[in-house]
Amino acid sequence: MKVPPIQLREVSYSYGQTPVLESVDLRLDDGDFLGIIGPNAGGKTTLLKIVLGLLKPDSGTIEVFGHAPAENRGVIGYVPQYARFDASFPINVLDTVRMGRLGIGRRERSRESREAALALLDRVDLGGMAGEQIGQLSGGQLQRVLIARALASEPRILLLDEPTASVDTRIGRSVYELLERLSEQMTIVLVSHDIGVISRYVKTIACLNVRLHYHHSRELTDEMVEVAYGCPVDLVAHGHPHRVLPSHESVGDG
Amino acid sequence: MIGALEYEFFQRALAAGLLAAVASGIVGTFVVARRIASISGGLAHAAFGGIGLGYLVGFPPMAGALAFGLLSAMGIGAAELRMRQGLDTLIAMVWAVGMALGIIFASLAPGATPDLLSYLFGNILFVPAAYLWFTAVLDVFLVLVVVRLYHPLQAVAFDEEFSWVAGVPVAALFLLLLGLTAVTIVVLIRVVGVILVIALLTIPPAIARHWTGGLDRMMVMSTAISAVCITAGLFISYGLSASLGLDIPTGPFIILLVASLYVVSAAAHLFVGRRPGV
Repeated sequence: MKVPPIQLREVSYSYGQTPVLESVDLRLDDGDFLGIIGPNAGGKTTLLKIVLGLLKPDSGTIEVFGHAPAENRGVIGYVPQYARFDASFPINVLDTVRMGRLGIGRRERSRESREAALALLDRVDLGGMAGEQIGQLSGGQLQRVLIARALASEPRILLLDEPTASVDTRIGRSVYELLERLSEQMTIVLVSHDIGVISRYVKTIACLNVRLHYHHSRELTDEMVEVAYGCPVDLVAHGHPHRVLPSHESVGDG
Repeated sequence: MIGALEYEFFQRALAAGLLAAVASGIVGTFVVARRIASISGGLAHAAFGGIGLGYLVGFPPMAGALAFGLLSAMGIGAAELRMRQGLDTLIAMVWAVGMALGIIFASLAPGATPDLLSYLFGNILFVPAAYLWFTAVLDVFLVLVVVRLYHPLQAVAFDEEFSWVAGVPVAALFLLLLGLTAVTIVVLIRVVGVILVIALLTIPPAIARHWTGGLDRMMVMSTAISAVCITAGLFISYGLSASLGLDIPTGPFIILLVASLYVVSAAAHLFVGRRPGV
């Protein structure tokens, strides 16, 4: 039987007395492209950090390709939340991307890592920007630098935290299109509060609000949304081209 | 004022200042970039406890400073790696306890009361030859470390979480950085003293940050700024004392020069409107 990229069993986590995650079970298979939505403080970032090994769950187990995350560093490419990022740090775009190639055991010449980083910058359409300081970039450019940095470690899994928060819709779309292409080569998990956009690109959706609701499908059920957000959310009314809720009039949707 | 160069003690002070500027420029750049100025202040004041202990027990005070500085660096470093936040109180405690211990040890020391003022505000005019050697070796070591580990150190200073996820040995590099900071601080105590160390460590890189991006260029530029200010401070304070009989301590004078330069730089920077990465 194949070892799943990510497997969580009964994972719980709390900050002091406040539970953030309660018995979360999640299994991802190769090629999955999962979008996790949920309210702020619903535990989305915490869940990612547990999968990355940055946080240890209070109880439950987490395996990344069959190993504890801390023993499998370098397998996951991580794109942190851009808004929480120190963009004033004195570092240029090229060096930022090269961070992904610094893991121990990856002995390579400076020229090789440089060329790999430059190739990745081309791939995210930032070819001429290698020498720019990251503080000079627009939100969308910085977001793509962070994705290139995550890809630089040649990960088998990509985790993204709110990849399109604080970038405009058009740039958001280009980020998602890039992810859609990448999803042919690796397992991707992204968390977002942006239900409408996310649902057009991901293969499956889960809702997270302390508990995880996941049915391995792309459709959100009313029940999932209600449980996750604590109130019914009218998703269709915003005119997204893809209906993510099953139609109440049974057949046919916009 | 140039006549000062004829004196061996002055030549030695100048050499000491220039050597210290190299260490200060390299380490200070990381201190500013990684935002560990308050930890650095804590380490400097903790080192003072070691100075007092040296007087009490009878070993060289600077060796005590080195031991206290390094131990505090490892302690604070371990705490920072475990908790990642809320270290303010711990740093403040290390800071004040170091001073308290230093004063109490020194007051209990046998013989004449030690000259604590020169440790608090620096005394570069009369440095022993051993100091020059120590600082020169530290400089060489720092340059080697930066050449060899530039990218990993930069990565850890910039984004610890990502570096860890990518497989970079974050804890070892962070403790190395704090250790080097502690040693450099002890060297700088001679130049500007415990109380003024953070200023010499952080202001030149902050000035460099106005005009350049990239840790490498910041290191070179802040070394140059420190060197100029230390040299100018030495000559001017010597000149004032030789010509006017004004006995102005060199350390505080150097700090005022660096701080004035910062004000000028910040104003010019605003005026020019070039804000790399800010």
